[in-house]
Order: sequence, then C-alpha cells, then structure tokens
Amino acid sequence: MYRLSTDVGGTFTDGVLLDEKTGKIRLSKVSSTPHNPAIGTIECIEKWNVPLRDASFLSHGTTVVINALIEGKGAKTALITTQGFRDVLEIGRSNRTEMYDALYAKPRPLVPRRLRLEVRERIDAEGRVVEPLREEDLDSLIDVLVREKVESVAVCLLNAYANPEHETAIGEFLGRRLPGVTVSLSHLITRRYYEFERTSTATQNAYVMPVVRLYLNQLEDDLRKRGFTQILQIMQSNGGVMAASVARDMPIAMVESGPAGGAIGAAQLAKFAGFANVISYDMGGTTAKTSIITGGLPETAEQYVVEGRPILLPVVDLREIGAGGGSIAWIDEAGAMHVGPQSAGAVPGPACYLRGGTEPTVTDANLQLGILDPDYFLGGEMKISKVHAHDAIKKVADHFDLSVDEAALGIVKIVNTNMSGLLQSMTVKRGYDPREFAMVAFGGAGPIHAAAIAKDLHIPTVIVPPYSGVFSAWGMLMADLRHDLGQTYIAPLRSADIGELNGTFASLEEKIREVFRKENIDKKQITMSYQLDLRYIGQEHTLAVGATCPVTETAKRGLAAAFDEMHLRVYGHNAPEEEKEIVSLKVIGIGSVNKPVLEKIQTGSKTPPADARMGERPVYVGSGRHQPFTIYRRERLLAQNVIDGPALIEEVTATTTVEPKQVCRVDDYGTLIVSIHEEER
Amino acid sequence: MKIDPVTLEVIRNRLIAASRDIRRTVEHAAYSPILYEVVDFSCGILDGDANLIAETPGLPIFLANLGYAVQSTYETIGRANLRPGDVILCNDPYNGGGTHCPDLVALCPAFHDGEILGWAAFRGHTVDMGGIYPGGWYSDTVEVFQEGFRLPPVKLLIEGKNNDDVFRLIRANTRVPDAVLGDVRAMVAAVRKGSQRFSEVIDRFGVKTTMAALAEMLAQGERLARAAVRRIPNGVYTADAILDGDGNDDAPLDEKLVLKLTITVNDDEMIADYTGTGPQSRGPMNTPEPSTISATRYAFKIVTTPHLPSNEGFFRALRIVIPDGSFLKPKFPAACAMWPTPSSTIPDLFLKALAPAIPDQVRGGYFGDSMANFLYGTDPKTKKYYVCAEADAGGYGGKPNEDGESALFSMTLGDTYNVPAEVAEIRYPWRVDRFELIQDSGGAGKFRGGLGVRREYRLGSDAGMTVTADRVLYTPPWGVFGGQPGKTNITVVRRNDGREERWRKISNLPLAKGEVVSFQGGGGGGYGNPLDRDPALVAADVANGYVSLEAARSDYGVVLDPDTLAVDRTATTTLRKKLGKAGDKR
Repeated sequence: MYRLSTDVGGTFTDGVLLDEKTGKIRLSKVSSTPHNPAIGTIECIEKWNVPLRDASFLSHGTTVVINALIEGKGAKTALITTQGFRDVLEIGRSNRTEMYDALYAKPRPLVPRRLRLEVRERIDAEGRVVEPLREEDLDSLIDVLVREKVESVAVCLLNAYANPEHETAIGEFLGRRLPGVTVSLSHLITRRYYEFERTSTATQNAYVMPVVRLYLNQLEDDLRKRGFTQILQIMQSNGGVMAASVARDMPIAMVESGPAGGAIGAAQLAKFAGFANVISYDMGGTTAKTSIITGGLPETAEQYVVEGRPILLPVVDLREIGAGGGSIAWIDEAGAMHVGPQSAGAVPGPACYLRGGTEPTVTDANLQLGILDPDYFLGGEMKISKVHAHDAIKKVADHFDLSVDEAALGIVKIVNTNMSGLLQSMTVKRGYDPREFAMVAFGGAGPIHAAAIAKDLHIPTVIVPPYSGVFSAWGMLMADLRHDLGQTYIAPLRSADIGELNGTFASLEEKIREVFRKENIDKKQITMSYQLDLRYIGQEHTLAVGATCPVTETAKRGLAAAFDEMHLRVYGHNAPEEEKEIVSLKVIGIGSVNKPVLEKIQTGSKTPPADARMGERPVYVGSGRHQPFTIYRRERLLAQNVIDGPALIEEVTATTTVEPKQVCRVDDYGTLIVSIHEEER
Repeated sequence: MKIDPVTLEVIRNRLIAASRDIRRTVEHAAYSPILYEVVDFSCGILDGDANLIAETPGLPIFLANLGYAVQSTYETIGRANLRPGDVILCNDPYNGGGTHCPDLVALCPAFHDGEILGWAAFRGHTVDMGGIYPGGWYSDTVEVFQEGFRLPPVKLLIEGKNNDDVFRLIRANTRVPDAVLGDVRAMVAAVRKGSQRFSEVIDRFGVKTTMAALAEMLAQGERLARAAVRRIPNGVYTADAILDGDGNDDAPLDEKLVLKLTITVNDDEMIADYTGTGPQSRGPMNTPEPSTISATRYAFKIVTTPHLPSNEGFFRALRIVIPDGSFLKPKFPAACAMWPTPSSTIPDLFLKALAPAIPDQVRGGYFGDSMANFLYGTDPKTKKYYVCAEADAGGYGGKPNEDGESALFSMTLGDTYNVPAEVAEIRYPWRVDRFELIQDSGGAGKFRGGLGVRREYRLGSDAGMTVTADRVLYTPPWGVFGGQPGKTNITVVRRNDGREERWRKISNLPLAKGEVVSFQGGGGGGYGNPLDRDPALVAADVANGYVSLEAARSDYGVVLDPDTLAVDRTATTTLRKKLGKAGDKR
C-alpha cells in the first residue's frame, strides 16, 4: 500500500509517495495548472505510475481558496444579518493600519451593500430570544437573492455564538427555498463572539464555497476514475487534515494549507529526530516563514487575516517577512542600506540567474561569498553567473566604499538580522527562550542561513530535513486529522458552574466526534484535548490553559495557578491574588493516522565516505579573509557521519552551511543535525 | 566614529524590535480596553538626551512626544539621582505628561557604567485618574486641578523594587483602582523589557558603536525628511478652521476657537506657524505645547514621509511657531482635558493648506473629531462601577482617484479598534440597537466623501454620559476642489418620554434606563465637483443606499428611474447644465 500527498503551489505541484512496506519515499514535481489545479494534481500522481486502488491515504494541500480570495474570484455572495447590522462587514473595526497615509484605503467588503440583507430578530448576550424570527420576513429576501442571481449566502446574526437557533432556521429556510445556493452559517464555523470577525469568516466561507465544491468534485471524480477508494484528505490551516466532504462545508479552513504542511512536517521530523520544541524556518525566493512547535504540535493563532479580512479560525501561527533569496539590497535616500522586502522573484530573479535581473540579491551575495557553487546550482541544471552577481553587488559596494566581498557579507548579515528579529519576536511573544528550541530549516534558502541565525539567537541545534524542496508535501503525508471547536463562555473561574462547564465541553466534543464519524475515523484513533481561555477579570486578551475533562472544583485551582505561571512567563508579571475569568472553552480533536515507518539510510562511520567529499572552496568570512570550507555531496553521506565545520553540504535543491566550530551529524534517516557550540552561542 | 552601513542596519532593526516588544507586552497584558482596543498609547526607545530613536506606531498624535517626559524627569528628579532599575511614572500635563491627566507615562532608563545611555518609554491612557467626573475627559472644567490626580515624574520603582507609597497614592485617587493598577503593572513590565533590549544592544556592539549608530540614524532621518520637503513646491500656504469651543451646549465657555495655520515651504525646510490662533480657552479645550508639537509632527509626517519609521532627526526639517498663551500653548493651570480636540483638526488642516501644492496627495476633510464618549454607572448585574470610554468613527474625504473611506476613527487615533457590539453587550448593561452607515452623510464630489456611522445603545440601567463632539457649528468636514462638505457630528438622546435631545458637548448628563443614545460620526468632504461624477457611480451609490435618490438629483444632478435605478441620460445632462449655471452664479 502507498501513502500519497500532493501540494499545489503557485509555481509547482509537489508530490510525495511513501511505500508503506519498504518505507521508501518517491518525489514528484510538475508545473501547477492554475486554470484548473486538479489537472496538475493528477499529473503529479500519474508520474509515479502506481495503481491508486493501493493508496491507503491521500492528503492534498491547495491554493484554490487563497487564490480565490486574493484574486477576488469567488462566487456572487449575499449576507444576511440582524436588523441594524448589515454594515458591520463594511465598518469593520474602523482601524487604520496605515495611519500616516492620507489616502489610506480599508479592505473592501466581499459583499456589496445592496446584497447585505437584514432580518428582524434578536438574541441577547445570554442567548435569550428577545425578538423572534418570523418566516414571512424571510420571504422578501428570496426575491432579492433570485433577482440578483446570488450563488452563495452567508448568515451571521448578532449573538448567534450564544444561541444559533435563528441562524439554523434561516439555513433550513434557504435550503428549502433555494436548494442550488450554497449557505454558510457563522455558528457552524465558530462559536466565538466578535461579530465583525465572525461575519467576515462566514462571508469568506460562503464566497469560496461554490468554487471549492466544483474543484473537489472534479478532483474526487478524477481520483475515483483511477481507482482511488479512500477518503480524500484536505490539509487545513490548523495543521491537521479533514475529509473532502467536510471541506465542502468549511472551505475557509484550508486557506493556509501549504504553509501548515511545512509546520506539520517540521513537527514530525523533529519528533523522529528526538526534539519536541522546534522553530520551523522556511526561506524561499521571496519570503521567510516561521512557526513554533511545542510538545510536538504547531502553536496556533485564533485568527488569520487574508487581504485585510479576518478569519476567525485556529491557524498554525505563521509569521512571514519579505526575506528570501531574491530579496534585493538597496540604498535609501538617506544613504542607509536595506535588504528586502522587495524581491526579484523568479523573473527577472537574482542578477546571477542571467534572466535580466541587475539588482543585487541575497542569492547573488551567497554566490559572491562562495557559499553557492556556480557549477552546482540545482545540481548543475541551471547556469548562474558569478560575474553578474559581482557586478550587481559592486553598485552597493562602491556607494559605501566597501570591497564587493564585504558588501556581499553585509547583505547576508542584514537579511540574517531581519530573520532573527522575526524568530525572536515569535518566541518572545510567547515567553519562550530560543535556547530551548531546535530549528528546522528548509526551503531553497533556509539551510544556507540557518546556522548563522541559530548562532545569533543561541539556538543550539539546526535540523535540515531530507526532501527539503518538497517539505510541505512531506508534512502533509504525516498529518493527522484535526478539528478545533471553541465556544465563547464567559464566567468567573472560581464560581463557574462545573456541571455547565463540563456540559459545554461535552457538547463541543460530541460535535467533533460527529465529524470524525463522517470521516470514518475509528474511536480508538481519537484523542481529545481541552483548553480554557483565561484572563484576569478586566483584561481583554486571554491565554489558553490546558485541562483534563471533566473539570473538578479542585482542578480549577490548578488551572488558576497554571494561568498565573503562564502570565508571568509570557508577559513578565502576574497577579495571583486577582480573580480569573473564563472567556472560552476549546476542544481539539485529533484523529491520528498511523505514522509510516521511514526508510533508514545506510549506516557508515564517523568519517564521511571519500566520494561524498568534493574538495574545498574558499568562502569570504570578513576582514578581507577567505577560509576554505569543505564541500560534501549530501546524497552520498551515510548515517552516523560527522562533519566538522567549516563545511558546505550540497544537494540539488539546497545548500547547508556548517560554520567554523559547528558540527554536523547525519542521522538514520539522512537528516542533518548541526550543533552550535556553547561558546559560539 | 563612522559606522559601517551593515552594523547600522543591524542595530536599527534591533531597536525597532525593542520598541515593538514594549507595545506587545502592554497590549496583551493591559486591563483597559482603551489600551488594548483603542491603542491609546505610544512607545519608543530614546537616547540619553531624550531624542526619540525608534518608535512603534500607537496613537499618532502621541508621535514623538515621549522626549518631553524624559526631559521633565531630568529637570524634576535630576539625572544624577537616577539609578539602574528605577522606573519613572508621570502624568502632570505641565510637568512630564504634556497631554491630560488620564495619560500615564512610564519610563525606564538603560544604564552603562553608571551613565544613562537610553530610555524605554510608554505613554498610555488609563480609564480614570480621579477628577470631577469619571473618565478624565470633560467639556466644562476651568482648571487642571479639577481634572484629576497629577504626578510629576516620580520613582514608581526604586532600583527594581516597587515604591509602595506611589502605588497607594494611585489606588487612593482613582475610581477604578484594579484596572488602573493592572495597566500600570503592564506598563512597568513593558518599559523594563524595552530597556533590557536596549542594554543588550550596547552589550553586543559596545558603547561607541551603538552611540555612533544612534547619531547616524538621526542624521539619516533628517536627510530623508529634507529630501521629502524639497519635493513640495516652495511657497506659503494657509488654512484655518473655527472650532466650536468648550463648555456644555447649555452653558458654553469659549464659543469660538480660531485655529490658524501658515505653512512655509522653503527648499528643504518647513515652517508651521500658528500665529493668529485664538487665546487659551477658559474651558478644557487647550492643548499643552508638547502635544501641539506632536500633532504638528504627525501632520508633517503625513505630508512628507508617511511610510517610513520616524525618529527625532526627521523633525529637524520642521520648525514650529506657537503663540504663547494661545489654546495651543496654554499657561498653567489652564484646563486641558480636551487637548486632543484641536489636535484632531491640525493634521487635516495641513492637507487643506497644501492642497494647491500637492493635489494628488490630499483628500477632502474628514469628520474632524474623535467622538470620544463616556458612559458610566453601576452595573445592576455585578453591582460594580464601570466606566466605558469609547470613540466613534466617521467618514474621510474623497481622494484624487476614489471615494473617501467610510467608518474610520479620527486621525488622532491610529490603529484603534472599536468595541464590538457582542463584547459591549457582555461588558456593559446595555443593548446595541444598530451600528450602521448614515445615508447621505458623505460630502458630494467627483469622488464622494466617506460615510459616517450611527451606533445606538439602549440602556439597561441609569447612567451618566459625557460627550464632546466638535466641528459642528462653523467648519464642517470640508470638500476640496469643488467638493461639498460632509455631514457633521452629533449625539442624539431619545428620552423615555419621547423627547429627542441633540448634544454636541455635555458633561455628566444623567440618562435613565430604557433611553437610547445614538452616537453619530459625521461624513467626509468631497473631492472635485459632484457634477463631474460618473452617473453610473451615482446610480451604484443609490442602489447601495449610500446616497438617496433625492440627493442623487440635488447634489449630483443625476436623474435615476426610481424603480430600476437606470440613469436617465437626457434628464441628467439637462439638470447638470442647470445646476452648473446656478453654481457659476453662486
């Protein structure tokens, strides 16, 4: 049997196939087919030429949702709201993210005002019906929806998080009267308060629903025609997968599926290598992305923003900055040097690509320094020019009266600082000490810079996975099913009614189990975890504290203490004497999928085999000095090999830097584990 | 010492990150919505001589006014009397604060070898620091002594240990001690973190290199600002506005406050001169000098370098002239609770003055006020006293190429978030009846002004209210290049007996359970002649309800079929001709 995953990206569709019997992995890469991404996906799978009836698991990540949102190519959507609140979507939070810009423009609502329809009804904050919903009021809405040829409808009523009965009634009514129109009810996506964010979420969900359904129908058809009998699993932003049947109703949950795959891959890889706490660091051509994994799970954020529009769903907490191989070094009007966020992208690309780019980029700098080998870029498949890199960097060098080498080193130092700033803010924000983390580096440029950044942040270990070029797809192969449900539940912790609290947990849990049943997940595979969002009474922001269910009166005291401790860790102070308040209850259901056994690589001795050693290359290290770095070919290394820095380990899609005094070990699976010495850190 | 460009950039990024850390700490650990939602704060890193080095955007009218607090600390406590681990707190508008009593400033010095090399600073609005009514924001005070408890710079922490006396003084002088002290704790944690980050930079790069980097950052800021000023044509540009004045509607103090601005652009320097601005008010609409400087710096940044992080160096290209004893430079003990109100108009006045010089970079006027409002009372459910301080949104002016934005907070506020109805209904004893755009509130123009917002609360218990809307009587949100003004701000109270009251400014107005308060932020002014607006856009506006059928006709000269909303081209051409002639005669 086989496990497969495919990850549709902007340029390429990546695939990873694992033979469950041998643990052998095969890769596949084809050009993406943006007009119909299902075609590229099928092509990617067909390259392996294996019968799909032998596939036991197929996970799929796709940009179809994010593209529809960014390009504005969703369905014609209407929104139904409580009377007096149709403008919530347009008013938003009234903030100005660019406060010094006189011509600032806020994100435009996805639904024009004439298609935002109000109904008479009202539920109060306690969930009591204050004004009943009347079906005759709904009749008049139908005319508008039909006349305007609306394809999809979002429904978000005030306080529906506390009592969804009116939303449900409208959903049933629309289902009856307009069976061809897709409907998204806000409470089915999230039971959290904050009406703008919930409305925005439901609206975006409705907006992409018809597009996604069409896409999944075709993909499932194509797969079935080729003998596939299992459930198609779709990668979600929260780092888990869901069945395609569930994704049809919750497409907004897959908005960040690609990057989430990378985070899951980092978590899984670290587990194989024996690390629980990891910073994932993915640096490509234009951006660097990072996320944090603790206890084997990526940390999630409660909301995500696409094109300025919030999505109130847990998402792997990814931070991104414009720092990639293509990032351009430039000089501002005042004569200060900067790198990025502008990028030369793939076209024209870095100057050394010979595609017409003339601006100096990070890749040019790495080539100039000797980190990259002009004759072994993409395994020698692509010709890059050291002369062009040199000439581009010279512009910056001359301005500052620096040598070209020194300017190149400066470009790399600046981009490294930008990235360590990003990583630091991720850890500091959560009160973590980077010294207690390992860093998993991937993406085309990640492994080059990882060692220097780790040194800067006192991170002791850098892990470079095999298959780092298709790492998100590899991660998707390892993903479990995951469903998050939260409910706003405001009560003082001390006096909260235990019965009611456990009842709410139980009902959330039951809803998740219902989804798992739909996905054919065996009870034994399911684990549930429970969290309470707590704060000091009077505060707004919360911290999530884990709990065991059912919660007891004694356990409450433990929760309070855990919250105090976490507050101290994250914010540097706490107030144990103050009363705490529960804001929401959350249940995370994991449907674990059997983890494949990976094939081990051949074991060697401490000394790498002679044919892996490709000689030496001088690398510029500053102060006018070059130092010889030993060059290794990664695919020829054996398990247990140890490489002392300075060294460069080259593979087709990446180069790993091992700086002087650092030591790199090859583990059983071919993963590179670089140790940064204490005195160095 | 000359610093190399790479080290400079590395240090710059670290200091910007340090000021971001200050913000993040406060935002998440704060108790008051005014800090975590309204973002009524500012934070930054300063050098030992009180120059702002790096700042994280918070409230834009707080821009670059943290230096004043550091200078006041030196003058009051003495530079030699400060020790590592000290944390300073102050709020006195005339000594260290520079704004009004509810704004607290926390400062933490970074020492190296016994010398102060830098500061981490935070200024934030607390819900209540005492004063005549709750909230610290009044329309009718006449002396600063009525406005709250004042702290000159004092040591809140002495060498790392809490100075309990000061904590007790604060606790005794605020109506909501838990919230205020919760915020103070968050502020202390934040500036200590910022100061530590600054010290880490010094440890890493050494004193000499760090100091050279700071000096070069300021020099670069100056160069950037001067280059930007040079892009504005030389000339003298003026604009003025008449503010409504203070006091209560039924008992006004000063009835008209004339705000006059003359901008001189002279190659790479800009002079902002407020000569001609009226004398200080008897009431609280006085902006202490440090805050007038901030508002002017904010305006300067908008018209020169809106997308660059700023530091003290930028403002070396700006000279500010403020007449002594005017309401922009009042004398102690003038009341100053409403200092932000004049500041709400200052930056917009810059855009109005410079419109002829940089027509592609300006827009019509905005609604011109923060629409600050305060509701307070005892929650019948919890039996606890609450103070709800909020702002309301309104419209911004039409732009050179598109309509103005609807429903944004005042220019004085920045990345400020409103309180969602669902949050308000949990937190306070009222129900939100509506939260919507106001039809026809945007000024007509080739590009229409954005719409104002109506937010209505139905009270579940008796409460007190203070509202202080300005720019209603004399200078509504102006249009530019032929655009029409937007609708003005107002608060409407619907009494239980059916009476309707309209308030601009009133302090401590009693309201009864069941009554409805409707806060209505005005609209933005139009850009360009409304008769030049594409009739299809007018038709779309009517379909969307932004503009009424009648206004389409009277303001835009566009005739629509009332059923299909199709444009009647012939009737429109005729009507527009007629309106155009009438306009010429006028």
